[in-house]
Amino acid sequence: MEPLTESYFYILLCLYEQPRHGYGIMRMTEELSGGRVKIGSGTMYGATSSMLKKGWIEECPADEERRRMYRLTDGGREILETEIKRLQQLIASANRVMGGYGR
Amino acid sequence: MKEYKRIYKPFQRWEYREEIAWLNEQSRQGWQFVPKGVFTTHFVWDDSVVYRYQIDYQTKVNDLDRYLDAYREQGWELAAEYGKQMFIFRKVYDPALPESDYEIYTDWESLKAMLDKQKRQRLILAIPMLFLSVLSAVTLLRVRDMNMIARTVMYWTLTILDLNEYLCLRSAARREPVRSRKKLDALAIIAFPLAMALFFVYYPGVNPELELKCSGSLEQTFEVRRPDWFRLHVRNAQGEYHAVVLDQDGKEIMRLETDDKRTQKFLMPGEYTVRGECLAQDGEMTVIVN
Repeated sequence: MEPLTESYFYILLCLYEQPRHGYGIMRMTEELSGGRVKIGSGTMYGATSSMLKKGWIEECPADEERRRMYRLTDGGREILETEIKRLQQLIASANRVMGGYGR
Repeated sequence: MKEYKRIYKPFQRWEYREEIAWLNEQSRQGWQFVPKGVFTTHFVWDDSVVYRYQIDYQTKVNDLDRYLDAYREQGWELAAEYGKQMFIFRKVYDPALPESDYEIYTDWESLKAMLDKQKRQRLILAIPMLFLSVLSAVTLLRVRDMNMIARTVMYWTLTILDLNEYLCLRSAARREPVRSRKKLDALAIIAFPLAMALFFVYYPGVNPELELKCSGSLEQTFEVRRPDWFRLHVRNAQGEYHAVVLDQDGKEIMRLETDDKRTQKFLMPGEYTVRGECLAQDGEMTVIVN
């Protein structure tokens, strides 16, 4: 599997606990990344379209404000967890080297 | 009272960064874009607000609601839509917000995907244009009596337009910024109809039109109406023949002998005479000057 882009990763991550609407995902991403990662409307639409198609997320009935919400599917959860494992391995490798690999 | 203005500037779909900057600048001056007109861009005066614009290209949006929601929830308002493929959005400008709040593509992967869609649209639109220019080129080649100036201008304008289209396509394919050659394009677009007009005014170039069937001999005076290359042909000849074109002073300037099919010469406007003779008994031929 190819690594996820940052936008994909954050969208999946933001949906990990509960369904959210696009704006909520955007805000949460900004907060989690300390303002470094933003998800603009075009990027958001493209990413959610593609993930809906792949079955990683699904639309769920709108809330009382009638806003569109997205929910993580089991498939999407697996993708996210696999990616986190991959990233952890990268960090672990980096830490081993920084800590003096082969010395 | 509402004030409107129109600017004679067709919307340039492919130079979207320039286009966005232009719309933003107009808005800053108090002119707000209105989706009207094809060769013009319309604005309405309203200096109570400043907008920032963005343009998005899509192959075809099927879930329009979801699409517009993604924009609405970040404060974007649909300003114009073209065939569910190109969308112009605007957002009220707030100087307190960072510039990144006015971006719609925030990572290079999605920006690249959008530019690919734009490229595809461009290619699809280029097909009818290339078809038309091939058609024109074929017509140019097939029409025999063609004003030389008109023909030259038409060849060059077609070449310029096609070359420009090709260069733009190549830039799009390489994802380089599309460099505009607006002046050259405008020149070609103006020159083409002028050349067409010129072509029709001086068509035909020979008066009267000469297609003379003869047996025995013929002599006919004619007028050349424009400086151009003209051809003398002999067709359907039986037996031996010769045909000549003489100028006003009776000097021979074109000559065909038996088995020669045609000859060509640049003639200035004026009076000329064509003479032909079938040498064989019962010989026949058709002499044409065009």
